[in-house]
Amino acid sequence: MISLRIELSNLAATQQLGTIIAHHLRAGDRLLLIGEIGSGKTTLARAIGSALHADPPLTSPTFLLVSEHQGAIPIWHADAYRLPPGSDPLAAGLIDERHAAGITIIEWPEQVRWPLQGEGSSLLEVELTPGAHDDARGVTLRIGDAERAKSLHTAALAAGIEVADGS
Amino acid sequence: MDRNHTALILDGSLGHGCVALLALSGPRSGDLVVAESAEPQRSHLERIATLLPSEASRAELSAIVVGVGPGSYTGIRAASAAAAGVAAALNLPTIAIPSDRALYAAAKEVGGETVVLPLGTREVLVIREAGSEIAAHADAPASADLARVASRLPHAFANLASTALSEALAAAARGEAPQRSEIQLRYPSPPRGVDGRGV
Repeated sequence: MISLRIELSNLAATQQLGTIIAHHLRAGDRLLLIGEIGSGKTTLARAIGSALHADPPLTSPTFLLVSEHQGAIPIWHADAYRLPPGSDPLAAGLIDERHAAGITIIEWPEQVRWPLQGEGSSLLEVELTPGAHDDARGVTLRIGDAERAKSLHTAALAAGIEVADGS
Repeated sequence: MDRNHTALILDGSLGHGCVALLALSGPRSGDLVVAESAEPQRSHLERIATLLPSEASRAELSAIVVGVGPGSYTGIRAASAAAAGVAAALNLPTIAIPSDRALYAAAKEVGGETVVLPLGTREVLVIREAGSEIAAHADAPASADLARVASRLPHAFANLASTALSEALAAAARGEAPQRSEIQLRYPSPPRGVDGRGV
């Protein structure tokens, strides 16, 4: 899995990164958003949704568990925060064969006991951590697909976002 | 009682539902009428209505056979909700059948040994005689043709439910109240000792 380390200096940069990620997503992708409350998971999800013309716009799905959106591509936005730790994602509806037709964004994926380990070209992981100040965020982006990682890296650099190859 | 008896078969494990009517008595006993669906999203209830168009046809209904998964998240919920609703409305017994067992039996009928059922973007359910397990798309073995399996699925459900259907008819003939227990959905259990994090 390729890992990219990205520094976001403000909210606009977070939104910009969301747009860049959105343009690199394709049908069948599963995007995991990891980070504490207030780390910017939903902000990033919203930016991705906005870039894909999501209708209705993405909000926090904490109380819905999974919300479905039309757009340039179907989007499922899930939040496992309220699920008991170790929950079965099949029983919770986080795994659905219909998701192959669109992209699935899952917040708090660590709450779930996923049935498969390992990597996959359709798997993307974004971990958000606090930055140097209130609006800044550190992002670790892990992608199973090397070509996409490279393209994302290039696009982020072109947008003036600071990127380093992680390990 | 000399009225004809029928059973409604409902399953959603393949996503698009399986909706069929099985004759249990009378000259057509054993016959299956399947509500075909040109549109996969057409609701179970609409298709049930095409099988049970009249009061008389509904009066013949004696049991509901319902596939309880594992399978498509939305499909098995749609099928079991429809089953629970029809059973409650008409005061009928429900017979729960594991969908993977029916899929396996249907595959055997078309010469297959393994069914690979899409579950998610990365996950498939590999159904074999010995049991079912989740695997990654990439690691999955070859599957029996799902369209052919689907065509034999109502028949497989009818076979797997035959004993329970006979018992339900006998109980009804004795005037007993129908067995309508809660419909418990089944899942392939994830392997133990796996951290939540590593997908």
